[in-house]
Amino acid sequence: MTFRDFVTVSSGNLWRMKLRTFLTVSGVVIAIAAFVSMISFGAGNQQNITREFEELGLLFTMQVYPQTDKPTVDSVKAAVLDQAMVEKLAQIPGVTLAFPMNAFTVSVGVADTVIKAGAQALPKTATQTKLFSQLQAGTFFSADSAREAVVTEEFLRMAGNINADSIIGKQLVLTARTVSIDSGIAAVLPHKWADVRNEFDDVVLDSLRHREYVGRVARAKLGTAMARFFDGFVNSKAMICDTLTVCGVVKGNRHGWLRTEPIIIPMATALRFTSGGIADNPVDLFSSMSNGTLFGGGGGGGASYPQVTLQLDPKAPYQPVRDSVQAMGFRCFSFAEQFSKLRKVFVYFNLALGVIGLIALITASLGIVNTMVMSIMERTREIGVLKSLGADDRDIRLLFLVESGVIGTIGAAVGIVFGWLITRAASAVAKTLMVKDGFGEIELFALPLWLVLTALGIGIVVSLAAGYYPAARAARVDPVQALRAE
Amino acid sequence: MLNLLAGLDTPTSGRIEVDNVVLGSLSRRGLAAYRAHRVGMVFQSFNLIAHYSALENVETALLFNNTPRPERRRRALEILERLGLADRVHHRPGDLSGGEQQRVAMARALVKKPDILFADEPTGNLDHDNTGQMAELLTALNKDGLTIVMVTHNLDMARRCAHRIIGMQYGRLVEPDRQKPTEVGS
Repeated sequence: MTFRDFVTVSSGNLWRMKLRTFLTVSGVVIAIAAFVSMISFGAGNQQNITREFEELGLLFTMQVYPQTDKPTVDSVKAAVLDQAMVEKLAQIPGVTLAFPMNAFTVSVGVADTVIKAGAQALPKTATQTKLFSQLQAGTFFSADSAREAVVTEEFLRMAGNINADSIIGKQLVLTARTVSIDSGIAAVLPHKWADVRNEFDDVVLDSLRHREYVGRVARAKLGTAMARFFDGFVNSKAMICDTLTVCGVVKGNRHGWLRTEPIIIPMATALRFTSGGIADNPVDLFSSMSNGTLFGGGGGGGASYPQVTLQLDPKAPYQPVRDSVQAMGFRCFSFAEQFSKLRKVFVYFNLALGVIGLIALITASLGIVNTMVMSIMERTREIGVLKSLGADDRDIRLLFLVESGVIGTIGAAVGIVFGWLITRAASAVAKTLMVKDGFGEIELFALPLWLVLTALGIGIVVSLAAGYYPAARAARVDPVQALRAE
Repeated sequence: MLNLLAGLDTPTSGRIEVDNVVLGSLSRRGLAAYRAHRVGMVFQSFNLIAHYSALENVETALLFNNTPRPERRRRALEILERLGLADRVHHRPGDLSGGEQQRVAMARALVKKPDILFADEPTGNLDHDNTGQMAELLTALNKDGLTIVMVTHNLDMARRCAHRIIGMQYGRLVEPDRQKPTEVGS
């Protein structure tokens, strides 16, 4: 018998028992549809993340941070991410670009609205990377010293849902208030000689022999000096104001490792805001005190950055770059590394979903076993006749195996289509809800070719496995007994 | 006995040799091939597959001896026509008379051109007319050179058709071999 003969004979037998075949195939269809729709969800999410990584060029991006461990007295001073270090990082083989994350807070006047928003400085070269490639309108700034700014979609929302095209060419009035440590120190120091003499007049010279008196005077004077320092520090704020033209709108990234501030300003233009002193907010102040840059001046030449982004050569391996960065005393975060870990997570996730789908398939396979056993019991005499005509055990076994294989193939094929229809329906509902909640339309499901082939393969293999026992039983039928059967 | 001779059953003792083939020396697969290529079988109860047409029943006999599909169809139609069933080829066994069913069974046994035909009470379920027709058919086939081993309770028919008659009761010979009258056959 040829394979075609087996398929023809088996299909004919299944067609004869239409209702039973329909019910058995339906079990496989439901199981495969459940399997496909569940794995499709995992595949859809994997595809979304992969697309985002590729669109943003994250696989060729590395983030560099200072070490979090505070140096001990005996240890070497912790490496600082300053401008000199940024240039040094850019020299590492395999690194095509290095730019710092230099963020600060500004008040922005746009039309009649004033809002407080985060801003970040960015070199023009960085705007040519994929990270900032999702330009929604306009262009990026023309030079590092251009009096232009690029805003993100987040900024448009903050400013009252302004249209991306209509903001191009509009003026943004940026104001930053900075506090300087110099003004605090200046307030401590007396302005006139008479003030110094008055300070000394208050001190009873004879009593200086008493240690307790000296302590009390010193504490009182120190307290007064501190009060004057904070008064001078807090009240001597410098106002920096600049007007920039909006030249472009980018999609931006609101969350995660590569958060984009709502306003992006050319590197040299931003120096005006960052070199004035520490930003006028408690977080920046305590941050400066914590990282030891309180007296280190503003964000200009001597400033340190919390983060530097490295753009890597796609052809160069990231491992040597990471080793070099770590050797320089910094921590680094490689998206390529994270992505490979993420892929493993997705494999486990898909496996877990697949196992749930397989449980349904195992149930369906019991239906196949039942159908085939019933079929053998009903066709015992037919098996005897076939054997009397020259069929050997292998022919009979294959005949029934192909029968269960046909059930699996039809069930898997219809199940894949059915599963796809389920995902389309679920996707339509999810998209409607996401749009309502302010998210973009994200496709949560995907039906890649590997999933179609896997589902088809699993459907066939499981049905063949289910048909193996009944087929072996059919092959063992004694023809003499079978021919006597009623 | 026919089951043993056709290789469907195996003897608990003794040795069966058919046309120089010792059946006991054949594997299960070898026995299947022996049935597929050399043996034709006709049963008292016809043993046609109920959901197949007459044509499909006959074609089934050629499934297991590697006959190509178009050849199967051609030969099945040819033998059915020869047995007077040209207008009944697409009928199922349930739609055929007993005589027609037995002729389909005969066509199925003959279509693979066997060396030996084993017939187990081929007229047992037939009326008088059909029994006569079947006897004529078997005689004609025998004259064409086909060896036929037939089990029957119809001694008249046996005397009319057979070259050699062996009587059996409870599996034992009960009367000696005897030659058929010379006027019936050579």
